[in-house]
Amino acid sequence: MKNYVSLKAGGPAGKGIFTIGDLLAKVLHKLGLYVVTTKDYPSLIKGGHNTITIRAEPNKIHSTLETIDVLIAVDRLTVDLHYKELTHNGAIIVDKANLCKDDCIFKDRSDILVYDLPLMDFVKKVGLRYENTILLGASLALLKAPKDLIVDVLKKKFSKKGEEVVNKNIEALNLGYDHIFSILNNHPFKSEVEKININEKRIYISGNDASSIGAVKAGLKFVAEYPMTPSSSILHFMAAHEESKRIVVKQTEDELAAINMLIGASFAGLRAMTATSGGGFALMNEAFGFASMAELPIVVIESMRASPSTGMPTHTDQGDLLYAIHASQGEAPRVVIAPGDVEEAYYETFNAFNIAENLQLPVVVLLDKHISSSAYTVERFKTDLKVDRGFLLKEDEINNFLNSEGKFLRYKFTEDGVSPRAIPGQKNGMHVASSYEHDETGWTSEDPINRTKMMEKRFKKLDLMYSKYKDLIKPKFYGYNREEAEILIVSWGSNKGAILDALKFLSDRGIKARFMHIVYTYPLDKKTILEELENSKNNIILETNFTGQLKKLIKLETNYIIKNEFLKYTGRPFTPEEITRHIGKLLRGVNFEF
Amino acid sequence: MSFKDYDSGHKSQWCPGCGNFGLTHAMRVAFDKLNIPKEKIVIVSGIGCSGKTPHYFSTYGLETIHGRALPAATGVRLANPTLKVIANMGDGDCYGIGMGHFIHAMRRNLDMVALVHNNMIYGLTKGQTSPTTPEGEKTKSTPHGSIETPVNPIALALSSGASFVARAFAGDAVHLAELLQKAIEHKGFSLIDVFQPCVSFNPTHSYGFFQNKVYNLQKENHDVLDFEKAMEKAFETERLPIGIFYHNHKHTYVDKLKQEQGTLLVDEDISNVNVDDILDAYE
Repeated sequence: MKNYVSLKAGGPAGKGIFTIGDLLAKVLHKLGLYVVTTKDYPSLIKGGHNTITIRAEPNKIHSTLETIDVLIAVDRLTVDLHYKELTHNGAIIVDKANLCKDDCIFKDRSDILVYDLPLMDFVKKVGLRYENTILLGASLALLKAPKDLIVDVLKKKFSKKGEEVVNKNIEALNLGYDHIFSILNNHPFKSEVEKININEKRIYISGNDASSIGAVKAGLKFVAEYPMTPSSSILHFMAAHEESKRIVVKQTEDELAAINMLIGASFAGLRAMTATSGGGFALMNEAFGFASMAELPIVVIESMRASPSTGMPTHTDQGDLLYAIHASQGEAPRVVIAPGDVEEAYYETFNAFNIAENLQLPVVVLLDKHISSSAYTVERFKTDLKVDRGFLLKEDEINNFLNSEGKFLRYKFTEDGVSPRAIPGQKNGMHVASSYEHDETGWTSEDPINRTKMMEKRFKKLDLMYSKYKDLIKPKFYGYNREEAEILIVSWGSNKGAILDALKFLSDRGIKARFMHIVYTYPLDKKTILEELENSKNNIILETNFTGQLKKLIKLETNYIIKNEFLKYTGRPFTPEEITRHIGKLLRGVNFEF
Repeated sequence: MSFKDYDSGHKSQWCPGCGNFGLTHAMRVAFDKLNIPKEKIVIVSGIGCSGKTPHYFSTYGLETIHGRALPAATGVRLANPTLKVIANMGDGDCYGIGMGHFIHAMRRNLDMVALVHNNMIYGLTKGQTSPTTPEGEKTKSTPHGSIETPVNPIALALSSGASFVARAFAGDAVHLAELLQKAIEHKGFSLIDVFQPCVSFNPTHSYGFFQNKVYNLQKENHDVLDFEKAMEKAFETERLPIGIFYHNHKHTYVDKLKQEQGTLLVDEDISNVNVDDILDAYE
């Protein structure tokens, strides 16, 4: 098939498997194809087993598949673990002399084509550093990708390292490319790719990078972060852009320091963010509640991984939803947003800053390892977005909010609960932002009437999500309309990609499904969600956690119990095929084949 | 302006005779002598009796959570280097639960003052042992006497890179005010560890106790540039040195950040940040 291909590269950590994969993906993206890349790896630096899966098609795709057309094997383990994933007449690129003493003949899969690449011989010619580029050339030759485009991608990637490195890479590329290309005449391969002309601008980007750019666009000026998988690349991104975008980026001694620094920076008037995973977020809980109490806007990106405790650091999970909604002692209003793809990661991280400042509270952007590290081709992000700083006063406005003693009413009771905000340096805005319960001026108060009014004021701000932000919090709908659909799939976060692709698979198999994707998980758009559920013929919730946390939340908030659930807690994302099979079995009692 | 202008006018919630009265008075005197505009001061605190400090000032204040005054102060400092940032903490707050932040703030040489209300006891929770409680001392949580070696804040500060290291006695507010002025003017991290008697829960370390033991380093010709001598003084226990142990100049954290130079970050227009240059790389 022209321009439809899935590839997987596999090998031990430290071998640069991701470099091959990322370059392959970039070439396919540059050809004008839509590309999705997912990574599977253990938490170690050397050894283990890393794979990267790349799927490319001419139309928009949202996930990688269970099957692949090409397997690029750097070690024997990759061959043994993954040859069964190959489609009919799929190909393995492998150094037979070194890795296939048994000649790589698979009794159960005689259809598989093995393309021998004398990798070690070539490495001797150009050096071990260029092993990846040889493999890149070999893989792309198999697909008959235009070589000049690959050279462009390599030049762009390595130009900073000097001409010699670029030339060496091109030499390595030629070795791999020319070798496989010469075999193709006698051993043709079923898939090939060619350049497609596209009219729109597209980008190929990961969730963490998309979130980071959304934050920069929002005017982020302060980042404090302690490294934690799978969020660390956000710290790296910010550090790389700290001077050009004038952002203070601080790697802290721990997560406690990180979030408290945000609070200080926010108090002083900067847009501030941290990124972490569940364990780090656990350490931030007390200060998270403090931000809510002192009404200081901050943004916390929490990229979930398989937990509790250390769990499986490099694997995906949605186990922190209810945690993010409830973290902190007492009752502390916050907003929790869960982007489902890279576009939502960009736009919703941007929105998180506006919401944080308009509601003057902490906002959690809940990602997971899958969305953080997977990369997708999407339309280039729009940048005409409006920064809205809410009730942040200019110096000459402060005098309108002083009490009879001349004290600034930082926590003034207002109709929507949002109070005027002044920052240090501004005359007459002096006040104490306090973790202690306080009166309208910020002065400590344990008075029962004041306490009641303050609790109500802080929670009242959440009503803005149902007024000012009512369009934003609406769930998104995909697939068939309500009347046609025989089942409503409910889900959230990174499951979105596999579900979108499953909708098509289901439709191809005669099942009309509708998908309700919930991005704003707290507060929930209860009305829309309940109405949709009550009017669905059948429904099912999909989550990558053990206890069905969104299902519980929906029950808690709407009293509706979703009829079916498909929960996965392997640490791996859903595949569109398994969703299709599950729903096929549920509705038709059949096991759909792929 | 008078020192009284820095007073919020709120009635104090500290015990009569508390060392904090001298301490807060000294702060106001120092602010007044330096003529710092009220809106340019941020008093940060943690939790404990010291945590209430910001409320007694007419400046900006940030009362944080237990142990976290220094990272919050760091956030303020990095956000706006034109502000004067004073972190008020107790010995439990700074040397106990917040110890990690204490060491890291010092090694960054952030331009701020850490004023530690050191009464060698947990006062607000009514009398438990603290990190600076001397070995053998009986408290409610150590009825048989503390069996731990106390923290030595001065030695820690010296070894962690603080560039202004001093100790004061809350009973001598005039001296403390002088030290505070110097600490505020100093470009870099200043620690002032203040012997601050807790009249309610630490009868051992009373005003009288300290009055008999303290002596002023500056009256005995101590060389504040002599690091080794400062370290030696940090371990004196028979007589207790107060004054400046060490005072040196080096680049502050903010000096080294390119993004902090020029327009203040808080004044930068963020209404339409350009990210097109970043997005180009992903095409």
